[in-house]
Amino acid sequence: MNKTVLIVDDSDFVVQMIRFTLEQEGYTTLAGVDGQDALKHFDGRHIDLVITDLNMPKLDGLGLIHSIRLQAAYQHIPIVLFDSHSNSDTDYLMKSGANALLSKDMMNEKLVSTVKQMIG
Amino acid sequence: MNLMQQADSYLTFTLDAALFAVNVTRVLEILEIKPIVKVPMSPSFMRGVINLRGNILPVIDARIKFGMTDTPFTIDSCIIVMGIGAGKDPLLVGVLVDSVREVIELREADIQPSTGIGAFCNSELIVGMGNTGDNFAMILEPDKVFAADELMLLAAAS
Amino acid sequence: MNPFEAKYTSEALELLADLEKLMLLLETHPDDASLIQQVFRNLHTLKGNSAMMGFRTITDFTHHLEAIYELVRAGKLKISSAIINITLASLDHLSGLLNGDKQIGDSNKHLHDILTNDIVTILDYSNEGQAVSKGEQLTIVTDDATIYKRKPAIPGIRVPVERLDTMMSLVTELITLQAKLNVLTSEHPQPDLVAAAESLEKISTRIRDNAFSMCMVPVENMVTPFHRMVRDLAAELHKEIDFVTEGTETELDKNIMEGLQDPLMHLLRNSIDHGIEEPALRQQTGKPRHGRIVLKAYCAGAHVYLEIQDDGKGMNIEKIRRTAIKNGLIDESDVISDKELQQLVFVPGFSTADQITETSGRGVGMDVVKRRIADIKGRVSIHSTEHEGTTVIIQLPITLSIIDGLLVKVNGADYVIPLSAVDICHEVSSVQLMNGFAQVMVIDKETIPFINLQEELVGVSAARQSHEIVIVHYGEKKIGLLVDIIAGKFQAVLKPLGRYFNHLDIVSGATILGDGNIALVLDTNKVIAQSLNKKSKAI
Repeated sequence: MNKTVLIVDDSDFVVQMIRFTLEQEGYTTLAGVDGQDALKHFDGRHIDLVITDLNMPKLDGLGLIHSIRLQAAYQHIPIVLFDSHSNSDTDYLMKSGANALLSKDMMNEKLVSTVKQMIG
Repeated sequence: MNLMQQADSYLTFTLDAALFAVNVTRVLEILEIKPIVKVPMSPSFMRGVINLRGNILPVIDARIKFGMTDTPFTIDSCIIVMGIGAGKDPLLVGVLVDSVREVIELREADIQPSTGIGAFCNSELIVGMGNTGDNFAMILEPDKVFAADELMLLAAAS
Repeated sequence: MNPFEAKYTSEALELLADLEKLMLLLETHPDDASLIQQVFRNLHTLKGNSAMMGFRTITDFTHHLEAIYELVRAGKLKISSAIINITLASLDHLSGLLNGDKQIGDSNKHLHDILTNDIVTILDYSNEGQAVSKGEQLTIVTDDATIYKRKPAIPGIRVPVERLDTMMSLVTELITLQAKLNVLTSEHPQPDLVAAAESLEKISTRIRDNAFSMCMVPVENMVTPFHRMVRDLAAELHKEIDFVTEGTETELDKNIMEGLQDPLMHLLRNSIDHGIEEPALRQQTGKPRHGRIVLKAYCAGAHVYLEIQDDGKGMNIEKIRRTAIKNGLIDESDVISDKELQQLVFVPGFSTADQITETSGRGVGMDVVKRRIADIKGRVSIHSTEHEGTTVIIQLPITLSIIDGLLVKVNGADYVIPLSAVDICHEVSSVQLMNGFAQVMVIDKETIPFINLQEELVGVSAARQSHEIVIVHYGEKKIGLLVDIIAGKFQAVLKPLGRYFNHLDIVSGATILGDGNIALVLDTNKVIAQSLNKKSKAI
């Protein structure tokens, strides 16, 4: 069975790009436009990986991660946090509960390899 | 089987007693004589300008241009509107003539080179003599006869 | 091209459009936190998307801009007009990048560097703990007014030029037809018809004015390359020059503007090359180091004026006089005012430059400038005070194709005299004509020379009785023109006579009257000049 990846970003453009790239690699994808919208998907279904943007309205990346981790079923789900600039404070972000950090400008090269590394 | 030679259509007209012809592709329309407004400081062959449906059309007196004597208009006098110059925007000019005759077909075989004699058989202006059957018509090349630049030079000199 | 590029570009442009709206709102609500948050969001999204596409330059540039709003959001910086201006200019720049190849090249490098520099400076400035508050003069911001010129918030649509030309053409035909209707109505006057014709005339005039206003563009539009040229040439010649524009919101017909580009460039080059002195020399003579060139535009009456003023070394009258004598333009003994001497620079071939400098060109001088300006029916004059500076004044018609004129008959033929040239009209019977050697007339104790248009235009000597005189301006003088009768005022749609009459300057064109007749439009200056010429030759 295909692995399922949830992509959360308020930019439709980013979501499209990542969905396209991952679907090419054989993954099934789900999407959310912000943290609050993304939480809808956590209704018991199986999700293998979450890729989420940091800055989003309503509920941002950090808030989303926190909410996910609160749910027993999804406590250990791998989460990739991405940010738009590589200069960000990585220590602080890693404390949020994300498993990996990706900066958007490295996205092109590292996206697929990171996903494969994390869930195969 | 005889080779069918291409025939071109020519409009014939008279100046004084002489017969002239011009390729119909250069003729845009034929107007009845109407009042011509003389423009000051212009050469004698520039008769003036007329109103052609809201546009200003210059009128050249072909007789004067060819050095013939100037005579008053008759009821047969007409203005032939011709297009001068290549390109998609030809320069329009009206040519005052004594009368307009019929359109005739002339094949290449019917046209002889101009004889070079006679007052206006200037080989530059006349491209040939067309055999109309009972007469010869001097075929004009409008671009050469009414070229704006040449006329302007003449005008400036006068 | 990356298949996602199109989507990226369209989303980016949407973000920019939204940002522009937000900026304009922010201008009047600088403390609105939600506006600031939205701006920040959009910039952040743009940055992220650009990073994903690998557009480094756009990403970094947006990052810097975003940083400003992060500081504002955190209360470390207040929105000021400087910040708004820089942001708007940056948005324009980004827009340009997005619509282009998303790279920095020759055409946008300069702007990119200036903006980046200014943004970084603001960031550093505020990081040192000083808030940049609204209204405070930010000395760090580049003085260059042109870069921060905002696009007008007034919505507009793009219209191909050909459509405007077609519309103008149709409008002029409408006016002609309406004039014809007026004539017919006066021949068959019926109350209803007369009223309708009058209404039509009013509406036609309004359509005409409206159509013309669409073809008008502000002088500002052609000024941008001038700034660049002045900066570059001044640097090349090691001169320090401030170039200032005034009144550039003044509007001109676009066709006239096109004809002005070259002459104005040339005049500016002259000011820089021959007018403004080197800094050291300026200081010696007590002038500020920086030379000043002002390009001023304004409306007065039926004309638009453009002035180029410099505070350079001015023109040397003696030198001009000597050159004029040497070139045979005047005689030693001629009595000519300084003012008239200065206008001699417009005569072909006249040049006082000891060596023809490369910048101002060989012989491509003021005479060409004058001719180009005459082509667009304008006039040019020069006014200079030695050591203080020189001013060139260009007078232009507001529009080329419709003029208000006075319809007159001369020897039975119709002519139009532009109303702008007319001073006043008189009846012959009321003035004293002295037909001596010098043809002058006496009106209210004033002696004014006159010309009989019948003789001048037609060549016959006063065949008909002239009944009226039109007094026109000729430079600073007044000259009377004798005509048969004055038929009234007339809105003339000017039509060119055509190439066959290119050599003719006394007639500027023709117009079609309501009854279908043609009236020739006179250039009174040329008519008078011709007449004077003939007289002086006859002496």
